[in-house]
Amino acid sequence: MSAVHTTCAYCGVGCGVEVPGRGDRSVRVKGLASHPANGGRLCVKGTHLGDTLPLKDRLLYPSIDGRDTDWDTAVELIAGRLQVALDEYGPDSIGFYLSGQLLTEDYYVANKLAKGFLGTANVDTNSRLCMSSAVAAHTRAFGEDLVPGNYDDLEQADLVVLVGSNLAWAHPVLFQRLQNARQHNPHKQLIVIDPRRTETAEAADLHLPLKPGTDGRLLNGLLAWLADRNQIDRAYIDTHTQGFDDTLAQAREHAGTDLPQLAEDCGLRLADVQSFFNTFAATEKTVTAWSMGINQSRSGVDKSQTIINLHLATGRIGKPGAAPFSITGQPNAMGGREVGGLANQLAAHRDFAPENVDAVEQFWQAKRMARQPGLKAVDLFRAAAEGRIKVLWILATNPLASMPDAPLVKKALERVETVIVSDVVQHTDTVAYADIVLPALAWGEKDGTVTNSERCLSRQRGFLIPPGQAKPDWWALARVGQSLGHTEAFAYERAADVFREHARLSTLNTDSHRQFNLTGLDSLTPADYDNLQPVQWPLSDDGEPTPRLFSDGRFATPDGKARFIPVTPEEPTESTDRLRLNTGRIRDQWHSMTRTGFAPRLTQHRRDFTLAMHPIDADRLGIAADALVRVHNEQGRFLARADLTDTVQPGQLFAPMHWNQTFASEGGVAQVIPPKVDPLAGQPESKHALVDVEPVPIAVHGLYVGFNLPTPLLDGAHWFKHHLNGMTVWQLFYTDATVTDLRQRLNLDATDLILSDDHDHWFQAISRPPTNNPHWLSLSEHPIAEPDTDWLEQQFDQGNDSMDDWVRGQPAGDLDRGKLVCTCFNVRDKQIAEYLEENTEAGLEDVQQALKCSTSCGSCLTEVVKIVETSVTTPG
Amino acid sequence: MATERLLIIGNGMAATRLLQELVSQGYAGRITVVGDEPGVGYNRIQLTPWLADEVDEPDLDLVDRAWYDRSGIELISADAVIELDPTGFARTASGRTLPFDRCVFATGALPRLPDCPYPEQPAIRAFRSKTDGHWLKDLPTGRDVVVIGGGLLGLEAAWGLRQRGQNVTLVHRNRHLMNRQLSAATARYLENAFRDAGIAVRLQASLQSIQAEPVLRGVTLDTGEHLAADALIAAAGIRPNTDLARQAGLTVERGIVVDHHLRTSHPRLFALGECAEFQGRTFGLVNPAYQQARILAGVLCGQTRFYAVAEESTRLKISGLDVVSMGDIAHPDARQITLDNPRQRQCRRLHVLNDRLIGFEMVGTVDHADIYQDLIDRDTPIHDARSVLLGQAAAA
Repeated sequence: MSAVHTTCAYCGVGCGVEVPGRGDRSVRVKGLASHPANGGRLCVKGTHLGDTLPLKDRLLYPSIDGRDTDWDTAVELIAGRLQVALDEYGPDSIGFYLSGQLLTEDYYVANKLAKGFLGTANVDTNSRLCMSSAVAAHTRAFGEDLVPGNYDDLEQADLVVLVGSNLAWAHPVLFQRLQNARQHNPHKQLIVIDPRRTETAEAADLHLPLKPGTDGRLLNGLLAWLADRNQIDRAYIDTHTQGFDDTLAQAREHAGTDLPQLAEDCGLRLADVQSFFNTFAATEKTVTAWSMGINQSRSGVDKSQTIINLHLATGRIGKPGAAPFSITGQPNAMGGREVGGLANQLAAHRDFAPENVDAVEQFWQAKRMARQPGLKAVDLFRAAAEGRIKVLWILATNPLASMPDAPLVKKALERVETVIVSDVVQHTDTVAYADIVLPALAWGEKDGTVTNSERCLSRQRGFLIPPGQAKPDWWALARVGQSLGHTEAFAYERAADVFREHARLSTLNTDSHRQFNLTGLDSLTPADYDNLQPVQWPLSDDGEPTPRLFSDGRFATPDGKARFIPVTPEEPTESTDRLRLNTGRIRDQWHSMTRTGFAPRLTQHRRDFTLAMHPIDADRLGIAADALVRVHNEQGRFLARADLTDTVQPGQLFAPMHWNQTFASEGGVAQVIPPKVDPLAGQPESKHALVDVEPVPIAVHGLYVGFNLPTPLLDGAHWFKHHLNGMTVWQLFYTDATVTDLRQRLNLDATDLILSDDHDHWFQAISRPPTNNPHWLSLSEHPIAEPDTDWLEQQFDQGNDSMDDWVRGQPAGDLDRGKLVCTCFNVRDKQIAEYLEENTEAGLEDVQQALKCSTSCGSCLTEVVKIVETSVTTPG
Repeated sequence: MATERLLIIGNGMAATRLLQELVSQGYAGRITVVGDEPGVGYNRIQLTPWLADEVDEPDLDLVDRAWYDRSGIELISADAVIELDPTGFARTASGRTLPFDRCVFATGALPRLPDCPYPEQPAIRAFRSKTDGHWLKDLPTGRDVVVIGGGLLGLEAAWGLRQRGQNVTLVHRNRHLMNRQLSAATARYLENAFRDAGIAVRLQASLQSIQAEPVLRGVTLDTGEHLAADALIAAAGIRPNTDLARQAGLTVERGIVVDHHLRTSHPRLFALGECAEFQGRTFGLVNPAYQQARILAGVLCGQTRFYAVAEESTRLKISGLDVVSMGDIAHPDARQITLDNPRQRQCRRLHVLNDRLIGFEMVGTVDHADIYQDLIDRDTPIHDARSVLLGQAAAA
């Protein structure tokens, strides 16, 4: 069997993945050595892609109102509903909500169907939540949504400034490349600007823990400071840009020229600000990379602009090791941008200018062309909640978990007459509200192309037989298009047909100032398409890829000049008596956990839905470590467990974005995120919510490990759950129950181990094989020490005779194995500490050699280094 | 000084252990031991495994005959002291006169036989001796056997007989088996194990009459139930064998009253084991007898030794069915911490009062019994009863 080369399903780095062969759902994948993005490396999530392939909870058949049906019936019904909506309410009553998880081909057909044949531009995507601020900034400054640099630049730069990016966790392979480069270049500096002391910040030469939302001010301050010291590239500014003087004036106005004042405004130490400014001034080869910390803001476009302004002013763009670099979150956010899968884009990097609409209409032979931008994500759901959207088709995303103001989204899903959801799993927060559910292909089954953060277009190839009636999304969309009578326009037989059309459309840009162009890829045969190697567009006339844009100083504006934009990014609202909630990714989970939540190894790193808070705040609010806490504001509320840590500053909180109502009874940071958006990009300010936090008093704690939690236990319970290999772990909390009440809800007939206390302070029931419902349940008035659930699950398979081990939930003599650090090699902190105790002279490399931790994906390197350093500095 | 003559009356487990202790502690006098059974001292506890053919008869012996000779002990077996003059003479059933300087009563206990009238016959008997064992082993299989008494003795007898293929019915007066050592819920496990083994169990029932003219045919219970019976085994308790002591004029309550040195009301006479009574208590278990043997040997060797009652655990001696109990398992204020494992017929229950373990009981397992016993013995404060139940002594 020959290996299959494909592309990872997760973040925007877009790593190449090698799969050993076809047809195996239990494969171990490895990094593809020949892929330019990763050169063989993979992060933890990528390494465990194979763990997400089993069909657990998989959607297999189309269904209507919860009843399985066939594709013909479903397609006909969808077409009928769309036609009715068109006839009775007009095109604007139809909406599509897409995803950066879709392949370019899926995106293309959705966009074409909506904008060319249903006449609605209400086509938005979860990329709106991710990088639309960067898109808008690129377009405004460069004339087109173009990412000038590439990953090599991160390696070649002598200074990398990361703004609002926890690269170590969110883009681990890029971080690894960066760290590798630092090892080889001792002069290379890493400066991290982030309110939190993230793993990335810990690894930096300088961390600027600024006050949330003051990044724009700091960077404007830097621009003014550089100009005052003649540290700008006048020649470059004069030749290749417009608008510098106004921009500089506004930066001065905004940030002032008083450095101590600026430092204070940003909550930083003056020395750190000086150090940052001096290093920036002195380092020609500088890359400033940013992610959601900048984008997810009420002023995301303007903040992005402050970064672009700095690079334009210093001429550090289009050169090796010098670029402003937006790093996207999703595997195909860039592909979606290329086809125009945003409400304010039309197609092929064109907007809704009349000549663009005409050109695309002609190309598509469109029957009902959208001529105006449509509703962006937040507005789309608001319109839906107001009853203005009659049919909403959601593909490959879980907006109820990811959109801000989840209560509004819920109202929207309830209000829309026909909600269509295309997904791969049966249970997501959103699927629960669907009228029509369509089974889509998952990673490993779907076939098409994606574009990563450095414009590198690669193939995602299928190597598995699709289960049940699951179909590609482009196919489902095309079937609906045909059912509406557009037989020719949607007569695609394979993904290659779609790609070819998309590439041909892009060639309309030839001879324009637009640089997105897939000329050279517009006539691929199916075989060429199958064999397509990773390529950075645009291709030169002789077919060579373009690693770097703007190298000649020409931008995608009509006059070829980049635009400085004077900006004063608005800062988020402060409050003296409320806490500021920040949100983001954790290392081993992806989005709303619909896939990674089923890979047990990925759950080990951080099992709980936690709210990071500073001990000072916790103390003031009477919150103990691990306590159940309610986070709430006028928007909504969620429940998490308190993680007391000084990685967040006093007054600030952090919660991961992943946990939603599938994994927590009152999950979802989205519940409290206000629908405050950037005025240009429409991107929500997901990184900032003012909230109150209070402890939730617990009368009874519960923990269940098994397949089916007895439903009576859910009554009145707050819960969190995570998956093991086959079993699920439920953490239960009751505010108003007694152990006696709960015990009486259980049928204990099949239970073979019962630990009880006749005063009912606690109760434990275990049902071991052979039984048709093996489980482990503990109820107690006190917090329950979590058993070794991995061990427990193994015992359910293998059997173990020690009642004590069963009851304790871990083998004797193994009472504390410590916290998992390295997911790749399953190494725990205790093992590292023990090794260091035995080998007092050992350093990082010895640890890596002996235990292998941090030598594969490297995501845990910072943690391992910390353990080694702590051990060295601890006397004795 | 002339060599002391020490006479030991009885050659059961207490006596044999006393002999061993005397030898090992270097007793200098001449010892004579008189036992009414033939042969050497043997292990009565092993009668049930022997009945069940799990051990051979020679394995019951605690010592061999050569040991007596080697140790300079005169063994008189199959004879009994029937008359005793505390001033220094004893006469046996065979007519021997045995002079002594000091004497130890190790006369043991006698089974309580049914108190309803019946003609004496081999089929109505106890299960206390090798003789009983031989008779029961010779009983052809498939016979109906009624065992009276659901305490340790009755349970062991019933179990052994069932292993021999007899149709056994166990009749017990109380609401649950081993009611002195187990709480009702724990005893249920034991009862189930017995029922599973094919032993019929009748609770809250006692003998009303015996149909035994001319030979045993059956019994009638006070519940009105009639049971066919080819043999009737009385195992409803024992009474200390104090006849000789009474006749010798010693103070006898339920047993022969002894002091801290195990001395009777006569300074030259001592007593230990099942026949003795100390501080109002009599003893049916082997451990106190062994402890008394150690103390008494020291006293007889001229040391100043004191006996004090130690809390004892009770263990049922049935292979494959562990039952252990200790301490107070019936205190109404105690908190009970229980691990139930009905499928494997295992149960552990701790009784905790004022942060102390005051009793425990277990069926089907002996795990951590030593830890529990130690916590009771040392009166150790307990912080986390759940962990203690799981054998983590550190939680105490």
